[in-house]
Amino acid sequence: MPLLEVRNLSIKYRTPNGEVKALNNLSFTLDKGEILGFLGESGSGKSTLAYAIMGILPSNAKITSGQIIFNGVDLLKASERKLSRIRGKRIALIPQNSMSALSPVHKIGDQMVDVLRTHMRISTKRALRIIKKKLRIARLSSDVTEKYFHELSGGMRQRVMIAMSLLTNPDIIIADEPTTGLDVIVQYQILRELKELQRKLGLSIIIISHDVSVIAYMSTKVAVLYGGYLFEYGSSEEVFRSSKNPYTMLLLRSHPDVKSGRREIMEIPGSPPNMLNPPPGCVFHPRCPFAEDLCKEKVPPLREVSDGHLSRCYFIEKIMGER
Amino acid sequence: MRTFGNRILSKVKSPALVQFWRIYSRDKLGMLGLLILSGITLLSLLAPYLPLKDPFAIVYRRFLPPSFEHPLGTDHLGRDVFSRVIWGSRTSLVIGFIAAGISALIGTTLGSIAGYYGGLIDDILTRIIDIFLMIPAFFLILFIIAVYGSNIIYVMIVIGLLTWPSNARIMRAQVLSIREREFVQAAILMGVSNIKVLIKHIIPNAIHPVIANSILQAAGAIIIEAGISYLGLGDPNAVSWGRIIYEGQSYITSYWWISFFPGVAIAITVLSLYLVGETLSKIFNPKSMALGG
Amino acid sequence: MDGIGPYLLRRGIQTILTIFLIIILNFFIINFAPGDPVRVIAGEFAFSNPEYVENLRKRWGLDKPITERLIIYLTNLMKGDMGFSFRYMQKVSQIIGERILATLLLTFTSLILSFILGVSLGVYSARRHGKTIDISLSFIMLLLYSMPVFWLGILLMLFFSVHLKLFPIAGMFSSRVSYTGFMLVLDVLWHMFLPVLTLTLANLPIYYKITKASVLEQSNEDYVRTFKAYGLRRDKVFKKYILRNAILPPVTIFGLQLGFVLSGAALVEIIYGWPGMGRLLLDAAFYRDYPLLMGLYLVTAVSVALANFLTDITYMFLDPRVKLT
Repeated sequence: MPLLEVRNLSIKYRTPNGEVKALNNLSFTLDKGEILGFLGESGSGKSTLAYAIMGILPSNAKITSGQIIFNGVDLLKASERKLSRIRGKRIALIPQNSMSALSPVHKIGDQMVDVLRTHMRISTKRALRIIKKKLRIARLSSDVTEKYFHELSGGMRQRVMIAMSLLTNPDIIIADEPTTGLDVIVQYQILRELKELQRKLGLSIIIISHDVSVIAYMSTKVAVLYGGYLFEYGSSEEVFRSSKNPYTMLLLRSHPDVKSGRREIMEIPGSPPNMLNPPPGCVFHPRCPFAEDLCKEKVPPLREVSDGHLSRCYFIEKIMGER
Repeated sequence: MRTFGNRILSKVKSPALVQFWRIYSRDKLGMLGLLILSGITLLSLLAPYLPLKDPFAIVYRRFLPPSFEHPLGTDHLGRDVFSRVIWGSRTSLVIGFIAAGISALIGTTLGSIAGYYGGLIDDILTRIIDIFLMIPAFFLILFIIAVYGSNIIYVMIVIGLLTWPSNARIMRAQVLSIREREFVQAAILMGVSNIKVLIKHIIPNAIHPVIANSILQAAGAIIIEAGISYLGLGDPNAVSWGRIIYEGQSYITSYWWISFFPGVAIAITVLSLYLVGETLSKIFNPKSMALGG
Repeated sequence: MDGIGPYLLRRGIQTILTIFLIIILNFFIINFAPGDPVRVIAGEFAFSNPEYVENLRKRWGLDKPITERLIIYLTNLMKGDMGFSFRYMQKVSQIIGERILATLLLTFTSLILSFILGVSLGVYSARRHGKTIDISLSFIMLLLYSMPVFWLGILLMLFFSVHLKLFPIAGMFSSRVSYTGFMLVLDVLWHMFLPVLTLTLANLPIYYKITKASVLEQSNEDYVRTFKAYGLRRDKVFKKYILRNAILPPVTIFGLQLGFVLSGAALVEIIYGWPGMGRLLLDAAFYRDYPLLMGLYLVTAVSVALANFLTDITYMFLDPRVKLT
């Protein structure tokens, strides 16, 4: 049985300018020990998914359908009591913008103690012991507890958030854009350490990013999102080595790859969809080189291309021919 | 009023202005402020042509309470209060805008120089700004008026001379950030002289928060002038709301209307300026929290 | 050099230097003003008796060149001598000393009250953002802020003193009876009520607005989202984290207003006949009482500089982001 299963999740936002369908019928599973990467441009709904799982969607968001099943419990229907034992405890979020993720006027240790004590009845002394242990696991010195957030470098701040996510020994960690704001070398360090932690502690991770190389490096399984729809889903190997979806293919082609020796960077023409007034039919059709009339009329369904590999497109065979 | 504005704008050719109006007109309070302010401005401009009694004429019976003939009553000299209040708007608006204008002029100039050239000039200016902010402006103004005379022009100039630091600060911060932008760097590389870069490229883009701040400063100037006039140090020849309150306060227990209505006028005018200024601040600087300097 | 000690030392020296600069600046402004001060004192005598005028000039040292006067003034200042007032025939330090407490009583009380009430109402409003009570409060505050303080004072006096006859019209003490001890305190409080009410109402709105905006801003900060994601209770996040972060701007304002603790109540003092520095300032300006004016400006400048210094120190403790370099 998968650790986390999301079925047909649809979420919309009500804004003063109209409705935004942030997620449409999203389904996926996360097994124990998997690292599932969500790849997509901004506005594709990635963060919405993270917030939905954590139960911290803004008040103007409405979940129109779907289930989020963790350990047999549908998080969308569970009681507050049940949720409080899961959220932040069994599933932890490493939030976006780690640069400002903690209060600037309180000591780091103080804040981590508060987080720990939300889920456990222990003394401050014992809490600090656990915290220092986790900080060390995240490759930070234990005196970080006495520091303030602004005194730390970008990489260190991210590590603090990683340590914080490990406080309650969660089953799942959701890392939302863990590399923003970090310079390339630090990015690599953080990702490598995360991978280590996953291996050592047997964690299951959902990693969200717009950066192809991050997802490629980290994930065992990949879900490609665009305009709120799942466009491709499968093992990392399958999706990156033999992609069966035009969007993914174009995305990969627009990404500079030192190894392949390819010289040109081919950008995807056009721009991301206006979510207030998305294109009819397949959301990607205005930018898709394979688009035909059918694509403008109806949203293509997800098709199983091979075992566990799904793609949303009418002309998968045609694309395979192109390659 | 919004459609009225839209109609005017369709004749104007500036897309930036149209865009601005679209955003501004969504703010109800800002529109209310604009409405009131326009009304007051209109009244003050048209005052000489309206069927008002002569504000200086000492012909009517003294201490008449508000009536149809004298909507706000008459004062201790037999002058019509309603007319004086309307004429007073001219004084206040002129003071407000000229004082704010002087402040904006000096502040923008000094602030952009400091921000653009940086270094020693910047340091000196920042020190000067700090010192200025330490001076209790109201009293310095009081003193200067007392010594140099209570001409209305002095009042305007002095207020402007003492309130420029806040504009300078804003301008400096703006220039610092815009200076690094590509189009500015491009102009500099192309050999455009520094002054031209400042005037043609930087200032037009940086000026917006200063405009918002100036509206708020105009309100401040009106209040300061009112305070000075209230103390009896204002220009005795000008019709000033503060002065009317000053003249009426000895009689306030029996003839309250003399001091009451000018105060209402000040409050409404200042309120409208605050509403407009706050809305402008919100548009030009989403992080602004203070009520201007 | 980093660290608290050197930082304080540096700020302290800066403060002293600034005060010094202001003294010199004020001296020059005042002494370069037109109008012969001697004539002002001498009055009609000036016309009839040139010897008397010369005599006065010598006595007040007004015949010496300006640089000498500056040096004399500064040396006297070091000795604690702020000069002698022409009009009052008293030492300036004495005149100011008599009035300063009365003013401070008024300003400190209303400053603290405005802060407490303004911040509380601001927080209250922020938590009910958009609801009717919030909108109504905001509007009232805006109205209050738009009213000239002296007008507000007059109206309050009219209503409470004249109409309701609840409070005295003017003064700090009852003139007919002479109280002592506890009764004296009550008497002063009774006289103090309206002026303090006026000042508090006038300053309240700015704390309200800043606090409300600050709380709302903090509520949208990333750390709030972090704590939400970890399941911390809303209440705790608000009280411990949001408030603590949001309090900084109001404290800054408090610090700024602290600087005007001597001059800020002037208009109110005049309205209510409160025996403080207000009337003093007005008269000194009007009658060109140079020594008194300089003394008053000096005291005001010192209080502003001190207030800035205190605010800096407080901020140093409140906000760990303050760079001690």
